[in-house]
Amino acid sequence: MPVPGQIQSIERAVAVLRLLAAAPQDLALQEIAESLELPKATTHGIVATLRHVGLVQQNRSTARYRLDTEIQDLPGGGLDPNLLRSQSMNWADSLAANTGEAVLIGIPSPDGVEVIHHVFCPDGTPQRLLFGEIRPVHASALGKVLLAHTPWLRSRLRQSSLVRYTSRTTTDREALLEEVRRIKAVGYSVDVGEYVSESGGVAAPIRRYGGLGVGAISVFGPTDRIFSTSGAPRREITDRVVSAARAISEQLAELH
Amino acid sequence: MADTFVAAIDQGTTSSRCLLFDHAGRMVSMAQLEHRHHYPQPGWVEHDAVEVWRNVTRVVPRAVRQAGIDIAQVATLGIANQRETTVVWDPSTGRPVANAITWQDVRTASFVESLKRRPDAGVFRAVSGLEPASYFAGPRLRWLLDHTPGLRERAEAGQALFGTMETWLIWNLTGGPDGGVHVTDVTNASRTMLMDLAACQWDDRLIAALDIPALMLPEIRSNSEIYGTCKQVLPGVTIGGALGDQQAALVGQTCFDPGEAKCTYGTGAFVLLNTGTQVVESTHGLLPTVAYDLPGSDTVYALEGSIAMTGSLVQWFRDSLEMISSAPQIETLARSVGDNGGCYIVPAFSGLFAPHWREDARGVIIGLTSYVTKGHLARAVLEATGWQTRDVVDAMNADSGLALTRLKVDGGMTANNLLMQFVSDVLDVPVERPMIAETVSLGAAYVAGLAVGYWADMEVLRHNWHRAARWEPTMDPVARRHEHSEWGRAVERTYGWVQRA
Repeated sequence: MPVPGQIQSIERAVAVLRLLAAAPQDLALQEIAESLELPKATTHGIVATLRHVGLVQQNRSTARYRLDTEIQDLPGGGLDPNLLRSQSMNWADSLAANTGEAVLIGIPSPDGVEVIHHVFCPDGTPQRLLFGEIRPVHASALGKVLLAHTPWLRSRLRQSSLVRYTSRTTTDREALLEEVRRIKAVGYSVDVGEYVSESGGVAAPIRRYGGLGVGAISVFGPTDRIFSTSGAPRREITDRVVSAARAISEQLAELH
Repeated sequence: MADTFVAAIDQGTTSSRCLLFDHAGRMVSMAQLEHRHHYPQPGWVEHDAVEVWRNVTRVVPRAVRQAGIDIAQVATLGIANQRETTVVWDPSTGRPVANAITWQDVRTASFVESLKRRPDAGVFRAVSGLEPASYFAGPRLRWLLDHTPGLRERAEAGQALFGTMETWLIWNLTGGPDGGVHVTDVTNASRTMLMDLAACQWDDRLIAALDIPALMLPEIRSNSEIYGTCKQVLPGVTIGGALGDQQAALVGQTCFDPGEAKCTYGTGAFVLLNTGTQVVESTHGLLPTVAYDLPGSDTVYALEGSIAMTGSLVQWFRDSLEMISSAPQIETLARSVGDNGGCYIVPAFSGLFAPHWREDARGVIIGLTSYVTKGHLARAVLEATGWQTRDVVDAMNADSGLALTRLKVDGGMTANNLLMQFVSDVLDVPVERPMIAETVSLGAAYVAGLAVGYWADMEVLRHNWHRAARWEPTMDPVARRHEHSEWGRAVERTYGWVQRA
């Protein structure tokens, strides 16, 4: 939701522009709508208006959209990672304290998901800061939820092969994209030992104005603590991850 | 029986906050309100004590409401406060005689100079442990007595009370003109230049040297005992403890063993080292101070090293040089280069604090060549915080004879990974951040909770401390020695810039 006094349609329009700015190639209407979680008709109205005022171009043969040359230097919607960490730290700390698990915050990077913040699991065991590590997009909870909100990450995925890390890694591209669609519906993603056996996580998206995805926050730990015996993630964990992500997003909405 | 919680008030320099904590030491809710700063003259910084009190009456109910609990579920209340800020008020009306004079205010500088020239000036250091400085509360109280018409007579007749901010809040909470309790705690009292540091009592020689009517001084109490019961704001709830904000952070970080230290990185930075039940005299520019006085043990002391500019240097870089648009972006800019490019910044903007204490120093940026970019300057800004921490820790090791083995950190700048790694690198010890950033409020909650048995003992509190991050030193020792010596040469160049007229 926009901050009171802000005009939602302008926020959404700028979110569309930033999304196009960040994309390495033209985006389809469907991709824009899905990334920002907007109805297709609303998205079409915004894109058509932006095209009408000359900020967006449409490729006639593919029907895909890109920024007009006039504003092609517009920065993408990413947030400075150090600013994002600073804004998220209190929420990440409470998430770790309340779930008793480690917490990671990641942002999309050309090589995968870059870990920009790590709160240790509060069990007193020796741990090493994972700050700066890259996690695979297709085999981490952070990566999968970012896929849902970052079209260029999806197009990059189409060009790369899906490495198998464990017996549970999803290496079938179509199955992965199907999972991404489900993630959008439930609002969080899971990794059940898909990168490292016996450890996994639950992640939810961190978003700016207009639904623009900037990163993701995840609880990370042994699969038997995160998931119940039925294989579903524990409700108290998914609830806390989703509400921490929402709280950070609300705080970001008040920036500037 | 519904769950109970401990409330903490953090009456700070910029805002008053109320936080609620549960048995595990987890924050349940928080509310805060900022107050205005008044600058009537250069070097003067005042707060309106009535505005501060009004803000407290608002944030406490908000925090209780946010937690969704009833006042009956508040087990007790603890208070932490900005230290050395001085207020005097009329006990029959509750009205302050003037604005509170804050710790940042330097109006007493010339009075303090005259104190130092007195033949008996040694009494301050010998009894209170403090060299006279405009930083402490006693000279401010004297200034008010000298500059408020009729105040001395009223004080001698019991018609004016002195307090630091915790005293002011406790008096108001417990009824104000209607039976308010007039007490201070031993950590705040230790920063007045009026208290015997060993006996933890007001000292007649100091009171005489500063010429203060003794009747206006509050009673000195331990940090953890029931001072009274709130009549206002949280009616029926006990006030179980109070302490100065930096001591509160030491308790919140559970630095309960001699040799344990914490550094809080805010506008400035404060390192406190637990020195056990002995007062350790400093020959290296640190302050001996009371750490805490808790039930079941003797008074515990600390050495304190204060650094004037850490976060405020980043703010200057953002607001005055406009090289970044938000404080966290200094890390992004600093990471655009691999090192400082030979450039050092020593932020002696209003002199240097511990361990140098040079009022004649002013800031320098040195080592400038055509090679230096704003990325190098950003590095130099962050490195200045690291090296200033090192200077204070070196002084502590020298004074205490204990070698620090790890540093617990808190405060906003701990979000900066580059800085925290650098602090660990230059100290050559691990640096650890706790899972709760609000260590000041947590410390206030802890002392109050101990008083009413909400927490059984300090061992329980230790178990509430969880490591959120740890940075290990990785710097090459040769590089560390070289950079340290370069920093030292840069510091020397700040000395004596201000010439006496």
